[in-house]
Amino acid sequence: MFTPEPASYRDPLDLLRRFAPTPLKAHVYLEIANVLLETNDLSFLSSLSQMAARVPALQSCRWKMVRDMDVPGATSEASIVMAGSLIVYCMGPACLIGADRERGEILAFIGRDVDARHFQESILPSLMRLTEFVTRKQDAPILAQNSITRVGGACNA
Amino acid sequence: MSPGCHLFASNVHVSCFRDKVEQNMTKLHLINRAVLPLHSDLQIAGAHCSFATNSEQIHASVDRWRCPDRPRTSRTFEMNVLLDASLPSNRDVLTQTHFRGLHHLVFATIGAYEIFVFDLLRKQVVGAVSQASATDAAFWNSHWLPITVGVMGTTVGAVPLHSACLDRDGKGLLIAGVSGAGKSTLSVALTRCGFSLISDDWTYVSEESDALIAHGISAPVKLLPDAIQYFPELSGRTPKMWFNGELAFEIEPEAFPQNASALHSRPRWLMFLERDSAPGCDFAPYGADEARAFFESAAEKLPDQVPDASIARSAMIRRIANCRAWRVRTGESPQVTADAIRQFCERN
Repeated sequence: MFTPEPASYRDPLDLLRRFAPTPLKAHVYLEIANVLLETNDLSFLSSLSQMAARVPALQSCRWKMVRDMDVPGATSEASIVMAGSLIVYCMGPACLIGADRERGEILAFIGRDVDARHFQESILPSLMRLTEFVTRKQDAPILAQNSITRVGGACNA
Repeated sequence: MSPGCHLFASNVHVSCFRDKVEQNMTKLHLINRAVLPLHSDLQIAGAHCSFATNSEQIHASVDRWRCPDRPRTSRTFEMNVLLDASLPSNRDVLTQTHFRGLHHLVFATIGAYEIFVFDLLRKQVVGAVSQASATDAAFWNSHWLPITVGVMGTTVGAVPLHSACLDRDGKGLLIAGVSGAGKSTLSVALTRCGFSLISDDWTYVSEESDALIAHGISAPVKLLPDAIQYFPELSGRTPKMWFNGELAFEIEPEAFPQNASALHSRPRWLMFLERDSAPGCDFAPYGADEARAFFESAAEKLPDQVPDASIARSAMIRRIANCRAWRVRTGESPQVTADAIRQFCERN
C-alpha cells in the first residue's frame, strides 16, 4: 500500500505554509456530514474512516488538514475564538483549526508529534463538533447569540 | 456540559469522546462588537482600521494611529480585540509567536493562550489577548499593528513592497534589494545625509487622489549584527532573536536624529541595491519590467480566495515600477554609498 510520509515544506514566499501540498483526497460519509478531506497525511484518513457511516448525510463540508512537519511538540490547553461565522479552535501551534460556516470548510494544521491516538481522542471530537457548526447553517448563529460565556474566562462546557 | 457552549452542546454523535473534550477545553472567547465598547478609527500605513476593544489600555496604546476622518469603507478592515484578564501573562512575543495560513484565514498564536485570526476574505481580524499584551504599548505599535497591516494591507489597497523608503523634501526614495543586500544599514546611513527614514524593509504603497503614496509604520529598524562595524554606537546594545529566527539589533525610530523619520512620501526614485566586492558605487538605469519582476517575485503568495487583492497588488506594482529606476552597485561602506546616493538624487 502506498503510504507517503508528509514531508517538510518550505517556500520563502509562503511563510504561512498556505500552499503546503495536500495531494491526498477522499470522500468520507459521516453521520453528521459528508466530508471531502484534503490532506498530506494518510493517517488522518485512517482516523476519520473509523467514524464513517454507511450512507451519505444531507450536509457536506470540506476539510483541509495539513500535517505540519515543522511544528514539534504536544498540544496545549484548548482555546476557542468565535466571531461571526468563524470558529478557531486552538491547542497551541500543534493544533490550529479554523471553521468557516459560510464557506462550509474546516482548515487545520496539526503538528508532527500529534499521534493517531491523541488525534482521535482529543482533536477528532472537536473536528466533529466544528463540522456540526459548519453544516448547521440555521441553528448555530442563534445559539451563539444566546451563549452565556461572553468574554473569556474558563469555558463552562 | 453546559448548554451555554453551543459548540459542544447539541446531540453528541461521538459521545465516547465527550469527557476528553471537556478536559481539554478551557477558554471560549465570543468576540463581537457588542462586547467591545471602545472603538477607534485608525490609519496605519495607508490602510484604515476600524478598531474595537474592551480594554482601556489597548485603546490608549493604539491612539497614535487614530485618524480624524471616517475611513473609506472599501479601504477598511475591522479589528476586534478582546482582553481576557484571566489568560496567563507568561508569553514572549518574539520567541513564542507562531503564524500559519490556509485559504483566506491566517492564524497567529502568542504563547499558549493568545490567539488572533485574520480573515482576508471578510477583511476582519479578531483576537484574544492577556493583560500582558494589553499593557504593552510597544507590542501594539512596534509589532502587532505592523504585522496586521502586513497581513491585511493587500486586501485594502495598502500594498507591501519589499523595499526601504526614505524621504527628502517630500520626495520618496525606494531602495529595493534581496534580503541581506544591506537596505537597513544603508537606510540608517542615509538618515545621516539628510533623508528621513520611512521604512527599512517593507514599505506600503497606496493610491491617494491618483498619486502613489509610500507609507511606513514606524517599526523598529532591524540591523544585522555585522552593522556594528559601521555604527559603533550599537556596541552597547544586544541583538534580539526575531520572529523569523534572525538575530538583529532593534533600533527604535526615536533613536534617529530629529526629523530623521517620517510616515509617508511620494515615490520619486527607485533604486535596486546590489553589493559588489569591487570598490566604487555606480548607478545604471533599471528597466520597468525588471523592477516589476523583482517586486512580484518578492511578494508573498496570496491565496486563490482573494483574487481581487492579487489583481490590485499587481496593478500597484506596475505603477511603482514605472518610476525612474536605477541599479546601484556598491562596494563601498554604507556611509559612502549613502553620500553617493544623496549626490545622485540632487542631480536627478
